[in-house]
Amino acid sequence: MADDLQLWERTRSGDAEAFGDLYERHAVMVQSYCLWRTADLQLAEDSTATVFLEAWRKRRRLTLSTDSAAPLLLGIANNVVHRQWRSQRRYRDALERVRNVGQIPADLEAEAIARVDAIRQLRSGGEAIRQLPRREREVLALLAWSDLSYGEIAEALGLPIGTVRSRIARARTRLGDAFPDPTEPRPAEEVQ
Amino acid sequence: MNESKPDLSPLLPDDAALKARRAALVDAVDPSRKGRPPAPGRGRRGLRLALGTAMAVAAVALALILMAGGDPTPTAFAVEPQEGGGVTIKVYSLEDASGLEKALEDAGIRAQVTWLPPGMLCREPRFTPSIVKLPGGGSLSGFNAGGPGALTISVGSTQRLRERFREHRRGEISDDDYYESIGTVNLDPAAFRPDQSVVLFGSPKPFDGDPEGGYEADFQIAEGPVEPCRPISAAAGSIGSIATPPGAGAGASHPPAPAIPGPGQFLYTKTKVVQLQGWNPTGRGTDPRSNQRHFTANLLGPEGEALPALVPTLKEVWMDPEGKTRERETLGRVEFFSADDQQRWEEAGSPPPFEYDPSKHEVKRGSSGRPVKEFASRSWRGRNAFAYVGKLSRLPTEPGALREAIENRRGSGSGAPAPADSQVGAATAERLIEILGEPVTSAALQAAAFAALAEIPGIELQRGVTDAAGRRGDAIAWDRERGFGRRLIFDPRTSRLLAEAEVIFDAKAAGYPGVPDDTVFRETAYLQSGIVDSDHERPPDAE
Repeated sequence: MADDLQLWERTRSGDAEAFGDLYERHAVMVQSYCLWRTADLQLAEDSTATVFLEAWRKRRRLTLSTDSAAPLLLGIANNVVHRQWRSQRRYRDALERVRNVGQIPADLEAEAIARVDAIRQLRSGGEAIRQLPRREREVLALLAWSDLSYGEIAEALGLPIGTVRSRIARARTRLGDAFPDPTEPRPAEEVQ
Repeated sequence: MNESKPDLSPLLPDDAALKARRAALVDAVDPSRKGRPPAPGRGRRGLRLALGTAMAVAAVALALILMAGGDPTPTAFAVEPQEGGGVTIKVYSLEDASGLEKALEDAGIRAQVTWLPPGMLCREPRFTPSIVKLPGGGSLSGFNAGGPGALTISVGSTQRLRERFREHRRGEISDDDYYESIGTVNLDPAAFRPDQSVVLFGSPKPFDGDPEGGYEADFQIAEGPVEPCRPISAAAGSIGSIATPPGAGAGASHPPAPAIPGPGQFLYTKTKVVQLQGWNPTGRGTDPRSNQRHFTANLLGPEGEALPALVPTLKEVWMDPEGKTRERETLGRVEFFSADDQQRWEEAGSPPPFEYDPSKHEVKRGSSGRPVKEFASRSWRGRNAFAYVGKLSRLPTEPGALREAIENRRGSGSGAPAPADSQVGAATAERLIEILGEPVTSAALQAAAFAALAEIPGIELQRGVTDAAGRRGDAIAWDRERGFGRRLIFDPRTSRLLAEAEVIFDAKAAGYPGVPDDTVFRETAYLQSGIVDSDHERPPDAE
């Protein structure tokens, strides 16, 4: 099976299908993250598309330094969400083409209720984190909504790993015990 | 906090939406090919047979010829009656396929004859091989013949052949007469069961440097129905003819249930991965730009000071039905491209050149003294890691249908496979490789994927290639862009995929001037897979 490194290498050489494979693999993760940051479905979907359009535009300048494209994509997502209007203006035409593709018809009542409910939960559940200063919020959102390690978060945000650790520690202090560390290293056992 | 995470699934695209959006995105980023068929790319290596054209040629080529006396046109074949009954059919070419079929039928032998353009073969399997008794003794399943001369098929009774044999022994007929009358092959219609027939196909082939003259033919005995010949390029077909995986013959029945771990079980896979990486001795393994411990091929090239090296890793993965994995990677012996580089690496203390993240991995020494990295992870397929097995089992096991099912062809697609160096062809090939690399792919699907791959124009056959684990096999390879290409190595006996690789065929074009051409960029050799009962257990036949 082609891994992210191979797919990204092909994407860099202009292979749109390889890029499509990366989209299929990571779009749900990127959209989850954008939902979490924006608590708005339309905004999150546009942001997700923008993340990939941005990745494609910058493909020649971006390299993967881990086995996964997740840090790279979430790093872009972080910027896209932060500078919402600016990046989306650039891709206005492309977004028009991608938007509303594969949309669940809004007249399915049960679906609509489930969506409203999920958004409501997102808004209330993330309130505490959204109150944090932006720098801490970004780090914590990545920690909460992706499987990235500290090293990969550092990669995504272009920060030294020490800074990631200190921002998480500070955010935790603000939030209290509400936020356990999901990436606490588990000791691996010896294989015989 | 983790517990209070809302369920986002109503807000996330499902599989179908994801696929539709993917297609829209791919179109949006690459508007040049929207609505247009992919242009056949220019390639440096390999055969470039356009299959559609070749088929058209095949149809046109069926335009000949039983010679009338004095006609300078060469004879496709000639039928000569034998003394005392029977006929000798001298075949100079199979061009008049239907005429030859009729001549054999008249002599009492049912036959299917196909004449193909040069460089083409029929896709196998298309019939069940069989055996007939020969009038001269022994039995025949098939043979290859070729040359500028005739293929002589003698059809007659066993009785008559024995007479000729005695006459020859007694010196009553010359060697020439004898051999001419018995021919290349002797067939007795009475030895054929009603369901048995002859399958004969061939193509022009130069002999003794004469590009005009000569042919090559394949003569087989079949039982039961014979499917019509579907021409494929010989480069591909010779791979297809290397072997057919067990159970994938013409009469292949339902595939056995694929191996999926049940509750409490794990799918164990062992691969050897060789990767081209850069290691920077001055930074002691640290990327100077990001100050992180990363060692990747990105550091190679003019900007980087890194030393290129092939880094082998033995990868073991235990995956539970939920897609959670336990992984174990043992670093092998790092191979540099020069002794100087090796020395610089040793002088810098030979640190392990792989990514090391203490928050995620445990790195220690294995029993061999080599670094072992252990970590828990999750399959990129996500929580329902084996949902794709259902999809695999629904895929057609007929090669053409399989290709169409997985092809990402928007708009009206033509039936012919897109070349390997086009976007569509490359993407199709990658999906077929994924199918072949899956430990749960059934034998029938493997055979279909293999045949579908072999039909994609632009691939080249390489014989006697060694994989990362040192196993020899036959490979198919094709170019991708920027000096990169793909190579798949198969076991020629079983057609099993041994290894798949991304190869730098042209180092300069690929932007890796420090490495020789034909360097592996990344190769995965599939060593073993099986179901085990714990994530510390290996299948019994593990080395």
